[in-house]
This record gives sequence, C-alpha cells and structure tokens, in this order.
Amino acid sequence: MKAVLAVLLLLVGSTAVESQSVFLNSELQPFRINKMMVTDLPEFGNTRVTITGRTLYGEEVPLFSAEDINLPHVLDCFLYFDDSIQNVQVEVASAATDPVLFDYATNFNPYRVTVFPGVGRILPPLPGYRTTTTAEHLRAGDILVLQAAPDFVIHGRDVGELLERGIHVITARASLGVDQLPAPEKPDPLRASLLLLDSLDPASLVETLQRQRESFASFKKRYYDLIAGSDFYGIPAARNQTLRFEDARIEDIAASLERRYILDRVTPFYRLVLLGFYLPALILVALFKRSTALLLPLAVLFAGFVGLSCFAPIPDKSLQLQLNPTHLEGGRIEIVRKATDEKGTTPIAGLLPPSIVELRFVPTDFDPAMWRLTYGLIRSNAKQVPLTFFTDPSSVKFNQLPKIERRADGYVVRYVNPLRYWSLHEPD
Amino acid sequence: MSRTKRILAILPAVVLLIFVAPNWWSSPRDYGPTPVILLVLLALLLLCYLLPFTALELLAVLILTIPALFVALYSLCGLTVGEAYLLILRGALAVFFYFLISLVIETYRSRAAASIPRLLTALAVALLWAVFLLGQNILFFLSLSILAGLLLWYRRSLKKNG
Repeated sequence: MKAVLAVLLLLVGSTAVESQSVFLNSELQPFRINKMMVTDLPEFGNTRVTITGRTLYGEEVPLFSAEDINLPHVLDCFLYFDDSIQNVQVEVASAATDPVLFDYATNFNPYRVTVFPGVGRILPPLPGYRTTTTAEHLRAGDILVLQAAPDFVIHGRDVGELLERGIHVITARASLGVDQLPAPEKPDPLRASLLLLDSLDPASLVETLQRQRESFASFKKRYYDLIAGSDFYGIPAARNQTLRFEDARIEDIAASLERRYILDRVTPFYRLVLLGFYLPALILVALFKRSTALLLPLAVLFAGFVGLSCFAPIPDKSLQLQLNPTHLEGGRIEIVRKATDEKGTTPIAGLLPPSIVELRFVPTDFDPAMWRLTYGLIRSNAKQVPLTFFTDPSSVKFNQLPKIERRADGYVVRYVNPLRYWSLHEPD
Repeated sequence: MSRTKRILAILPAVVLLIFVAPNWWSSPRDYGPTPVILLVLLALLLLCYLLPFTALELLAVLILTIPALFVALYSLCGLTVGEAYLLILRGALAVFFYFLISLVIETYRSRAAASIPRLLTALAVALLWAVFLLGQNILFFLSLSILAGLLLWYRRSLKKNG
C-alpha cells in the first residue's frame, strides 16, 4: 500500500515539476497577429494560459486567454498588440503547478531587414539586418538570396512573384537572364527590386547589403507605415513622402461610407414592431378603464412583441473598403459598391425587405492581383469574430486592443463595438 | 385606472421612444446599458411614488415600458436578446419589490406619514440595483420578490381579519 502511495505521489510530483516553454514563430511585431507556441502543458487539471501586454505606463492589457480542462499538450497562442505595448507576459497556471511566467520585450525595429542568405551560406553580422535560416520567415521588404544549382536556371515567373510580394531578390547574373523576367504591367511602388551580382560569395553580398541599406530599410518601412500610420477616420496617410495624397477628398471616403451606411441602429423591423405594439396599446389604454380588462389584451400584445423580437433580424453590420496602395498616390478615387450579401437571418426577416448586412466598396480600377489595403468596420451584438478572418493579412491595425480567446470551436477575437481595422494583404 | 394614471403610465414609454425611434442617437459604438436602465428605473420608481398604483396597474405600466426599453438595450447598447430581457427582468423585479415594500410601509403608517420612508426606499432600491445588485444572479431578485409577496399576503390577511 505504501509503495502504491509512493508511486502515486511520484506521479503527481512529476506533473508538478513539468516545465513549460514558449516558442515564437518569428519575432513579436506590432500590428499583426503574432503566433506563440506553449509546450509541455499539464495533461490533466484545469490549465489556464493568459498573455498580457504592458504599456510604458504600466497598464496591463489582456491579449489572449485559453482555459480548459483538456488543453492540448502544445497550445498555439495568438496575440495582437500595437506600438503602445512594451512587454508581453505569458502566464501558465494550473491547479497542479505553480504559475510560470515568461516575459518578452517588444523592441521591434521597422527598419530592420531580414535576409535569407541561402542554404549553407553564413553572413557576418551587419547593422540594420538580421539573418534567418528559413525563407518562410521572409516578409515584404526582406531579402532572399537565390542561388540556382549549376545546371538549373531560375524561372523568371517565380522571381516575379517574389518581387510582387515585396521580397527583394539577389541572385547571380548567370542564373537569370534579364529578358526572362516579366515586366510589371503598371508601375507599382510596392514592387521589390532584383539585384543581379556577378558572384554570390559572402564578400560581394556584404558589400551590396551595406551599400543598399538605406533604400532597403526605407522600402521595408513603407509597408510598415501603410498600416502603422493608418488613421481610422480616413485612408492612411503615407510618411516620408513616399505615398502622398494629391486630393484631400479621398481621405474621407471611409468615414463618409460609415456615416452613410452604418448609422441605422434601430432596424426597420423594430420600427414596424414598435409601431405595431404601441398603436394598439395606446388605444387599449384609452378605451379600458378597468385594469383587469386592460391587462389581458395588453399581455397578448406584449407576448406578440416578445415572440417577434426573438426571431428578429440581427442588427449586425459590416463595411469593407478595398484599395490598392497605388490609389493612395493619385487624385480622385471613384468608389463602386460590389456584390453584397443581402440576406435575411430568420424566416420572419425573410418576409421583410432584405437588410443589407455586408457592404463592400472598391475603386473602379481595383486589382485584386496587387497588394490590397482594406478598411473594415464590424458591428455585431455577439462582439466576437473568428480569428481566421485576420490571420490572412500581412499586417493589421485595430482601433482597439482586442482580446483573442481560445474556445472549443476555435479562436475568436473579442472586441468592443465597433471594431475598425486596416489590413494589408499580399497579391493573390 | 384614472385618467391621470393612464396618461402617466405611458409616459416612460413615450420618453424612451423619443430616444430610440429617431436615428439621432445612432452611432456604430455601443452605449452603456447601466445608465439607460438606471434612468428608466428611477423614472418608474418615481411614478410609483407619486401615484398609488395597484399591482395590476403596475404590471400594465411595466408591459407598456418594456418594448421600448428592449429596443434601446438591444439596438443602442448592443446586448443580445437574452441579455436584454434578463436585464429588463431584473429591473422589473426591482420595481415590483419597491412596490411591495411601499405597501408594507403603508400598512404600519398612514399614507401621508409613509411618504418619506417610501421616497427613501425608492432611492435606495435604485441605488442598490445600480451599485450592488446589478451583477447578482436573477435568483436573488426572485427570492426577494417572493419574500415581499409573502409580506403582502400577510398584510392582506391582517386586513381581512380586522
């Protein structure tokens, strides 16, 4: 019996000393959905993982939470923060173990460029650059050193796709003929550059990177500014005079669309139902002097109102404005409304005129194959939206610091109405 | 119901409708539900204080007020249907609870003498509702109302037995 007890104690103790660890897929960056992995979570017991951001003034902001009896052994955590957050703290707590804390500083430098120097090639540390061992970590504004095998020629279309995605390519002149590379159909300020070198040896690469440091850094920051410099009362203003508004009127497009389409909080359905209740109710109050006689028809009317209100259309609305970054450069933009989902959410709503719940606007010359800048507004009584909606954009900026939660049916972003966002999307 | 009572019974609903039905309060952001329901609660308690409603008349007043309050909570405050009706139920129970307390006070004092305690009770119920009872379980309100109902029954039996 004592031996069994000892074994049980050992088993309990082994879970208590289990140590968690946290892995980052890439460095923590503001204005994007960052992913963290917490490993070695206890296999039983109610475990809670919370991530909190701390501002410069010590204010703590909840960014992520997951709590379940059966959390997976390796938990994916997602968090969003803006440039006001200085530190991020991960706390793992369970009934069986003491809370474990991990602290990360968010000292993100938007000018710093990541370089993938190729397999097996090591570059010395360079100011303004960091190297990565996998090309998957490269994002817009970063650099890929492309080295072909001796008997293999790099396909021009592949390089073209990289350039359109904003990734600079450095490769050997012999590997790629200039005539192979398709020229862009129209000038794109977000298209990266192709550098052809005679040799890809480390010395040549270092010399090129040092020489081009300022232009690479400003190119990378251009992407950052598209979202970080965005204003929720208009189209994001560009910095460093790289993208400039010639016509101030276009800055009001998002705000004017909001003013025009989002304001009717009380839907026509409720206006009709209120009228349908109060008109007969007032007649009843005027006609009946006895309370008992008044109460019965009033109760019937009220029951009708409650029944209808349970099946009423949901007053959720969303608005989306999509632009190509090139639209920020020019003069007037002509916006058109694209196909919308005009749907009734309940059988009763189907009897009424369709309520437009999703509105999408794009310029007449909008090109989905280029970089896309999206302004969105979501207002819903549920106050949550699936996280997958925001994992696709290259970067995103919200008008608040929403909390991401892990639920049984997936990850959700919880927000305070309305959720406004600017997001930047790679070319399709 | 007298004419004055009938006119005043629809007053909270009319005021709420003026706030809700036109689109001038509309904005994408949500308004806080606590100030909305607190103001409505204060208005109803004041009405109960000023006019000697019977239980049935009070029920009629509540029924007349609830639809406009529901639309305000659902559309302007962004609550779900369930949340809105739960909040309304709590508020209605608080009003009914005040009504029963008023009756108990009047049982032991004359109507004129009971005026000040009833006014203080009205303010206390509204304040308690706002500060302490807002986050409490609905069962708490139900049990309070059942207790008050028992007091009412006791009061009536006292009257019946002379």
